[in-house]
Amino acid sequence: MTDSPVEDYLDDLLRRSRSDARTTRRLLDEASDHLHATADELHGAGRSRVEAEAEAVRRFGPVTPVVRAASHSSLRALVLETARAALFLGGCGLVAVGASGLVALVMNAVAGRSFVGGQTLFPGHGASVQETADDAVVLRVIAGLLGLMLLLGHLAWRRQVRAPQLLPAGLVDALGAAAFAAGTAGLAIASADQAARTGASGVGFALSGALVALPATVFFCVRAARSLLARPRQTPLPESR
Amino acid sequence: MWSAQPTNNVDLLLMGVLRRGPAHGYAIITALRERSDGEFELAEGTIYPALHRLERSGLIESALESVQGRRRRTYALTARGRKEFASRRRAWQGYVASMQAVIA
Repeated sequence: MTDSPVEDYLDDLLRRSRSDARTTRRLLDEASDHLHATADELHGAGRSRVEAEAEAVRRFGPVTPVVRAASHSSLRALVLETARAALFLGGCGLVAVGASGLVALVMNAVAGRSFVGGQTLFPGHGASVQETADDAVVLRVIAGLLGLMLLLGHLAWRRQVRAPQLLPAGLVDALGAAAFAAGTAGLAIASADQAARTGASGVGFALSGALVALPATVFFCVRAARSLLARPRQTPLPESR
Repeated sequence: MWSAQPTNNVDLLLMGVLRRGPAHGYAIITALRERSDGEFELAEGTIYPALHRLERSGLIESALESVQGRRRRTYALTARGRKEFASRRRAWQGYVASMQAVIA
């Protein structure tokens, strides 16, 4: 204990906070300003400094409900940010599937429908080579359009709700890079396996996906590297008194 | 679900104060106390997590300023917040009217 109830209270608030660093810093900043403003007013009205600070602390309320409310608020924000990140990654994944449909369309036109439609990875239950080749385009493009809608939703959400970054910098991009890298590797292996079994027939089915997943991997790697290498924003800590 | 307890309607109360103009936390608490004739004596510290939550929802926004060497955050309703406040106030007034009709 010191002779400043306000400082003791702020120390307690800092010790017991379970929120993320930014929320804690902001809460401390505002609590400090609020408590000192109340104490100044009471001191100006004739109370001793210690009495004024003790009354300011009493009015501010016990630490526990403040910390609990901030913690709930912080957890909710983290869940929302995670959901938003999932929306972004899901949207990117579906757009990539759509783009692979367009690549499959080009492959159908250039190399013939058997290059995509002759795949044996997913037996087509009697579907013809032509049907498989066309489905590889149409269904993927539909998925891509759905992905675009998700990305638009993500963009609107970001514009609508300004929120502090709670997830570690670069985490979402690193997850995206890892997912697309795994996709690239899996699809490349599937393409090689198809080629080993059937020659050129059906190779385009997985290869069209790998050709999109590879640049997507590079894109996310660059974004992740930029986030990780960027200088952290300098936000001053609350002043000690 | 509405409740007569002010702690259950903090968001509406905070937006009600901010509807009249931007204010910092201390001024918000003072306005709450004065406009309710001392009826609403909230634990002052609990309004800050509520303000942060409203800001994350895009209903209010904040700006930092320096006052007498102290950093002070001032809150203001956003356009979306004004619409939301009007909607919640209508709902609240409808609830009060219904209660009144039953208990009068």
